Amino acid sequence: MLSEFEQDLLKELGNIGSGHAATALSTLLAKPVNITVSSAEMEPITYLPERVGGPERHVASVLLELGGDISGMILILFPVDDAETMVTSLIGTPFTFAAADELGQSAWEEIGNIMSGAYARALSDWLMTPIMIQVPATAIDMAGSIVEFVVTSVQPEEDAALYIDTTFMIDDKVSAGHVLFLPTHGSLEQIERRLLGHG
Amino acid sequence: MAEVLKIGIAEWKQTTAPNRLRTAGLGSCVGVILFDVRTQVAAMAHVMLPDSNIARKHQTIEVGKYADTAIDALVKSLNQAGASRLQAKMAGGAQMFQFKYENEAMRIGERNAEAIRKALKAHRIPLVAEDCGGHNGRTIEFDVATSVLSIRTVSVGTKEI
Repeated sequence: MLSEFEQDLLKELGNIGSGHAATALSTLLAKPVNITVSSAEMEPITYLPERVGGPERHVASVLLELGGDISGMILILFPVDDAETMVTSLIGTPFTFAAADELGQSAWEEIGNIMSGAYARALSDWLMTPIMIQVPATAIDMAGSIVEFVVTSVQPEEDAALYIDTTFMIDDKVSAGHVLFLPTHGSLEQIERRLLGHG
Repeated sequence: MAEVLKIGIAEWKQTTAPNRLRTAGLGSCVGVILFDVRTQVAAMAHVMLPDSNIARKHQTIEVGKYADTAIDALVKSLNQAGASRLQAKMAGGAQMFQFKYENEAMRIGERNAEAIRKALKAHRIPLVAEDCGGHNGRTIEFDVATSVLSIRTVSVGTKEI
């Protein structure tokens, strides 16, 4: 379990990271993007798929791996319909992932690239530490199959998943996307040390 | 009344006919089923990792999470339930993302499936059907009465093994 203090710290981290990601997305789409207050949790792995709409929810995702003092992964998940709407408005022609259209596919990668990059940069600035990032990867599939891979990769030795979740809303639509940051447990200690000024 | 028992990540459950066992959204994880046709009893685990040695020392191990401990637990529990001739089926172990720079962690699905094959061999349990690998998430459901495993993916639809 996280203490109330740790939760507040991580929520603030989530707000800063996703605030920058939302601004980047809003600029790209020329549409208002709202985020809800981030939540930080450490809970049994089984709960995480439910948080993002259930294990079988069909989602479009982008995954960015972070390295350095702060390591972990940033995972962006949008319901497939919403992701297709975003891409359509960006490229100006109707897009579906099933059609395997190269322009649309790379536009989706670019949305993920810009959002996750903005999130990572904001973390790096706020924590005053360099964060190394790789080229993000994308997957269009069941939400459960995506989050379990991320938890397995980032926190294999833990029985509880540690994550910071922020909900994104575009154009005030009710349907929502998620941006999750899953730090390694070692990074959690680093984050606390840096924010408390002992580092 | 037939029931469908749902198994979450790192969990395992056992039941008898006419019930079914189901786990949703398998990615790199592997769903493995051990069953006995004669006594109509079966158990399913949603395995996340190949080896329990990775677990922190002194931590209570979730047995369903690791290939080695899951197979041991399933065999023990099914034998206690009177199963005499166990067989196995499994599905999952996909590689969900393709990164530009591959590392060992990306092959976790493949390693999970391999660890289960090895554990089954050690217990001399025949693996009669499997659907592993690829890049798609899977939802699987096992019918204890017929021993049929149905596998659903977003892109291909449903198939039975």
